[in-house]
Amino acid sequence: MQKIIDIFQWFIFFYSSLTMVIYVAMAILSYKHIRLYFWKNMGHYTQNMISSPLSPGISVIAPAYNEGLTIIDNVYALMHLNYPLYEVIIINDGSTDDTLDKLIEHFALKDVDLPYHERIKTLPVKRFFRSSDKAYEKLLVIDKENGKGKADASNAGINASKYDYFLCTDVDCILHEDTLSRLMRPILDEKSRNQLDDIQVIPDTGYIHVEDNQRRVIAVGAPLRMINSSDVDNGVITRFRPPNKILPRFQELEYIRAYLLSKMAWSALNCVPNVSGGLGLFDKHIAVKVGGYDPRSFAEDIDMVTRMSVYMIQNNKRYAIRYIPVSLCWTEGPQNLKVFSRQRVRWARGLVQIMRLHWHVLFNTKFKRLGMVVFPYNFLFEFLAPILELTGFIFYIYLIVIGAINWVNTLTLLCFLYMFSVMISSIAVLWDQLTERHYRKTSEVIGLCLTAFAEPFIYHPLIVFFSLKGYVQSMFRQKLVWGNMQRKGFSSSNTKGTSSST
Amino acid sequence: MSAETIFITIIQCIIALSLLGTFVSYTIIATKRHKEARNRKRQAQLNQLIVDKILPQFIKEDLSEAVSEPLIDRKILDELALMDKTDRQLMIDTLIHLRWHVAGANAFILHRVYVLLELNQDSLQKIKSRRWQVNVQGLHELTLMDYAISDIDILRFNLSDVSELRSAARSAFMRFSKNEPFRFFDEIRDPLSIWELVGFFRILDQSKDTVKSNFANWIRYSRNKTVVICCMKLAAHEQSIEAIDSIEGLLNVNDHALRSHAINALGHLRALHTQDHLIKMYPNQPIDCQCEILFALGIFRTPGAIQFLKEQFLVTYDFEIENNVAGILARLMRGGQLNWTVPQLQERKQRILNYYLQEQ
Repeated sequence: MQKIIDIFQWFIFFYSSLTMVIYVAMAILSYKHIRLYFWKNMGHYTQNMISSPLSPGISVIAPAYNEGLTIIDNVYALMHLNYPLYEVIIINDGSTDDTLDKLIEHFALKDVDLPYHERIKTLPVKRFFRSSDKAYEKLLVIDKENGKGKADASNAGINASKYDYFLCTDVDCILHEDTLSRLMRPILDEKSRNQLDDIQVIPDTGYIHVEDNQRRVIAVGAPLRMINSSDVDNGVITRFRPPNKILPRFQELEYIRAYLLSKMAWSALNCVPNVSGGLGLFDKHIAVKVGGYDPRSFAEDIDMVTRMSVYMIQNNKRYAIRYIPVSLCWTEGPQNLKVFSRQRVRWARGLVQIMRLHWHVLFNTKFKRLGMVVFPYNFLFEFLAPILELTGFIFYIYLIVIGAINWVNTLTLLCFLYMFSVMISSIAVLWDQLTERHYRKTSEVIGLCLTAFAEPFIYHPLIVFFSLKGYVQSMFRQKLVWGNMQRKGFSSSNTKGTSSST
Repeated sequence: MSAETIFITIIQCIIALSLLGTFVSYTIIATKRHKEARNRKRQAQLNQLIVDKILPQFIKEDLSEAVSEPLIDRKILDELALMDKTDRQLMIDTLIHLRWHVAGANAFILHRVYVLLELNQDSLQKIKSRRWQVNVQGLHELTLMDYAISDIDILRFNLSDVSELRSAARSAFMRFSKNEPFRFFDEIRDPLSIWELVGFFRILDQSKDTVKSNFANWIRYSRNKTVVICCMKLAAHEQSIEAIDSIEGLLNVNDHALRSHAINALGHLRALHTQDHLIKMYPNQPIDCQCEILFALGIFRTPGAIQFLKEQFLVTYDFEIENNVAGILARLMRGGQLNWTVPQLQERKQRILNYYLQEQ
């Protein structure tokens, strides 16, 4: 028995140490990548794009379900992005409130017979609307049957979109005005290595069509942040604040860590596992090829990015998924435990689903980095982590019960894990401060840093618990309740009633 | 010492390092924010100074006359020439920021302020630095403030291992070279990105006095595909008619991405004589090339081109092509170049055409 206890202790120690080594490596890598990003963007280069005839068109796709409270402000905000060629597609996903009526009234919408090609199968689309006011010519509103989730509505938006790239966001998110130009830059900046060796003029008998194989950026993402306590006026954030309430505040810290430490490092290695559903720019051609978002998926964003990556690898096409370190999207985080629990359980079930659906990719050398880095990392350090934490917890209880625990060593180990987690969160906040300083007061930043001291005691156990709950529900194939995301709304004074979305 | 003691000692060291790391992070955050606040304050002062003392000069200038030596009050210059290194950098950033929003005589005044305050010396120092990041910064500052440097000083960066530096050097060369702004195309061994091309377009638009280049040779002879594509786009943008023959030569290459760029450029250049060739090759092309051919024919607007577009609209079943042609035909109809009534158009096609006719 003692031997088993020893082996388990060493296993947990090495697992934790490996996790920490990976975190430190990620912190260093992300720092380098962030610096490089800022060196590259030293001039006012996004401004070049605003007047350029070379800027590719982008369709901004934002599904809306019962967003009557904030829809008008949000659509106005989407219509005032700094980019020369884009359209805004709002999909009314069978709202039961006055979302559609408000849109029709405010934007003088009229029914149009849009040529619609259902490249991706969706639930029936009822009507299309365009504004009769030239000022809103960028706006297209689609009214469709409720698809019980964002995926089906987004797919309808992709079908109706006219440009080669689409930006997927939530209608309640507030985007930075330069979002499109900043996200487009990595796509335009990706350099091919092709030379003109295959330029051969061929006889009149016919054409041999040769496609070049330059690396194609198929998706670009940027950090999402919490808007909960910030001031918003007409869809523009006038004052950034870290959330006052404890749950969104923890999430803010978690997002900063996830985006600025983790995803930036993965981007540097071209191993990005996921582009968030809240803000992602995608290559439409590839997204359509893989069938768009899967409405049955609980983690439709990871699922689509994985299928896009698999498609590129299986067709021998070189690809990249990029992240930029600048926060471009602000969203309202769950304010209460019930909504938060639903969100995290769904994410956990999504992760199980991804692992099950794409099991063949794991440790498969054919899938290169996706199979040997991205999936193994997700499996070992995202999927297994809550299970191992629970096992470790039970193990320590057992040791206490049988009186075999060495309290000094145990407390030292716990202190080691605790301090390391605090340091990593502090470094993440530092990286955030090196990129952009949204918060006006230093006390707000330090306050956010101090949240890291409470996180391992309050927030982390919650996340582990909800993840395990999600795994158990997956095992017993329980029906997932999507429920409503209760929103406070943030138009003007930040004190409005509630709206909801799936 | 037992293994367990060593293990615990290592853990204690990591705890100490974590504590130190946390403390250092907080210190850097606090220091950086303090410096930033100070810089912001200083920048606001400099902005105010420029707005109060220099911008009024702008208004006094008669923009219809060429300004060779704008007069700036010596006292203002003395007031500005006070600065330490950080302030000087802030001043450069402020001038660059203003430079983005003005043109003509006003831009020249900003340029003069930059030179009179000897801020150009700071930028010139930067291009001598050993760090590529500083070189890039220096080149950008000189380019954006229109402070010309010799071709030789720029060309040496073209051979750098760092792509960002090569890219900055190309932009600088393009801005300052008096005879042949695109001479660096001869030397390029690495691929150009569309992003660089976006920058080239911007520089071309800002420097109307730039010598017109002949892109024909690069299109015909360059072995770098990205240079060829870039030159075709530039030729189309600059309406460089002499490049048409070279571009036409690319209609028969087997790389269809290159071919579609060539067709697009011919459309923009209104190379009407290529119309028959384009129509002849149309059936054998992949969709992207077909769309470019339709786009080119839509620009040509000759009776033959319009007839071909109408025929394609009637016979095609491809959604993308159908929409493309409908959009082009609707534009022609709205512009009065086409008066088309089709008695027996399929209902679906009629709906598509109607949609584009109603589009604003």
